[in-house]
Amino acid sequence: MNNKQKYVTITHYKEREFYFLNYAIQTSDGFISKEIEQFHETDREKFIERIKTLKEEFPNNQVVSISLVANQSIHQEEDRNRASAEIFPHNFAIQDKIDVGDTPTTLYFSPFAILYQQFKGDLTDELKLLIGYFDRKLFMMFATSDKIHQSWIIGTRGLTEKQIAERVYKSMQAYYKISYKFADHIDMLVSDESPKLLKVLREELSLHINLTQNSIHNLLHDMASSDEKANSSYIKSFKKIESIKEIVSSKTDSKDEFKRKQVLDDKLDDIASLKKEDKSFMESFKGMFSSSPSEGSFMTRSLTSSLPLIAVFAMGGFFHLKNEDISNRLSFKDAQILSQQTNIELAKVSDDIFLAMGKNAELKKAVLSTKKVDIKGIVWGIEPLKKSLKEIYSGGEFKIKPLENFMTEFTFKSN
Amino acid sequence: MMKKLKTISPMTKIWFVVSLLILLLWVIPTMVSFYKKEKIYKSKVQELTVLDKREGAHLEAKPFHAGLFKADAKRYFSSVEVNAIANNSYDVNIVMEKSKITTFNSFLKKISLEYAIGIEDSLVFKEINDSMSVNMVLKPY
Repeated sequence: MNNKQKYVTITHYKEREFYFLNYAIQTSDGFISKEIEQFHETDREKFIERIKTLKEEFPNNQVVSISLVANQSIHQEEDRNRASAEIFPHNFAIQDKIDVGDTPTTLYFSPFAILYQQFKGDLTDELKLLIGYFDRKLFMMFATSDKIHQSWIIGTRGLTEKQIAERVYKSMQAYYKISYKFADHIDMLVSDESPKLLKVLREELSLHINLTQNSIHNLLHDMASSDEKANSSYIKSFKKIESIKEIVSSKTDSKDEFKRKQVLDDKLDDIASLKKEDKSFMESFKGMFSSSPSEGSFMTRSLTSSLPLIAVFAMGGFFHLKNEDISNRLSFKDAQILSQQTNIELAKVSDDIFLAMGKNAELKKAVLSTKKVDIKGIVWGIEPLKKSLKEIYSGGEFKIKPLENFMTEFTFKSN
Repeated sequence: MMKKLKTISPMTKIWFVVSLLILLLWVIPTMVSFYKKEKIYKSKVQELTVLDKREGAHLEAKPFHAGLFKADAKRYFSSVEVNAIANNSYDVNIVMEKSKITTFNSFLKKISLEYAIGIEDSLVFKEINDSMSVNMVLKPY
């Protein structure tokens, strides 16, 4: 096969002050990668010249690059005013502009697209956190098999591995606060060997982390290996090299207009302090909420979702207190009724006894209760008294006893 | 509608279910219990109204106070003694003219309406120097 027939993918990206260039010959069994070339940014012309040479050498080519800017994110809808790449039926990687400048590029991928491509086969209904570590930035997204739920980028420049792990954990916590879902699994794709970072992440998060390591060049060669994968490029015209410039130009123009309206800081590289990063992190959350006004803020949502519970507790508490109060009042009223009934009965017994004695007797001592009576006194009319008492207490025992002073004492006991 | 339900967060759904359970298992039974008791209470008040033969008096009984009770009873009887005894009870001794027995019986009928106190079921009458002495034990309810 001569060079004209070979399909070659030329990959390049810039990391810090260096351009990295590579090309690979695509075959049905995969790609055969050549040696990586490195150019200092002062040798930019040489770098571009080298790409042009390769393109001439291999006319059937794609020039592939990766966008490592920090202001890209995943959205549910396409934004026609910005650079959009569909990476899933309802998920688009979106960034303000395609900033490849005059560097030849025919396919331009978001790390999110690469990350999704790498792990989409492992996604299930369970929430997973996918992390791509490129150019000292963590490109993170929470995903299930049906969609990508949330994404953001954390800059790691100047941070220790432990601090990075803490920020990853913070992100997971923050996502939990807005979705009440926690990712139990993490799939991580790193572009260079970071054993310490992985070790610390595993220790700090206490989670199982699947690690995949691959170079950016290899990932880009893979992304450009088929139409299906290449479709998730920011630059849409797959294999239409001549029209790419127009698209890029058009996007750049629309971006310039957009840029005038935006105040977003697109340089995460320069994040110097934790506070600043936290702020941008929170802003990304705010942005997420504001994309759907019905969702409201986290506080509002929390408050709203807890309103039924608060209302139920308030109502329950109110009736609980009222119930206790009425129970006490009821017990009080029961006791009062019982006492009143006893008092009335006692008064009646007393009334009956004194009425029965009338002018026939005089009471000396009496023990009266509602159940029995025990009376002692002086009697003058024995039979009338006996009759009266027996009418009240039919089974009662009536006794008389003559006294020395010619008087008669009586006693009466009810049964 | 179903789509909207699906978008509600799981925690909101859990809170809603918990709220519903609390409502069904605690709030509604408490409400039902309250309204039942309130109904019973109203019938008890009615029952007490029937038992209350006082004129122009209201039903609310005052907490028992020995001094107040003594002063109140002294308006009708010659001598009234109130002594606190065991079991949070009071030993009350009233001395009256024999002709005041009817007044005493009327007094008995209103003790528990005026004060939150009841008579332990026994009255002990004794004749002392042509007067009648009555002993009774009162216990707050």
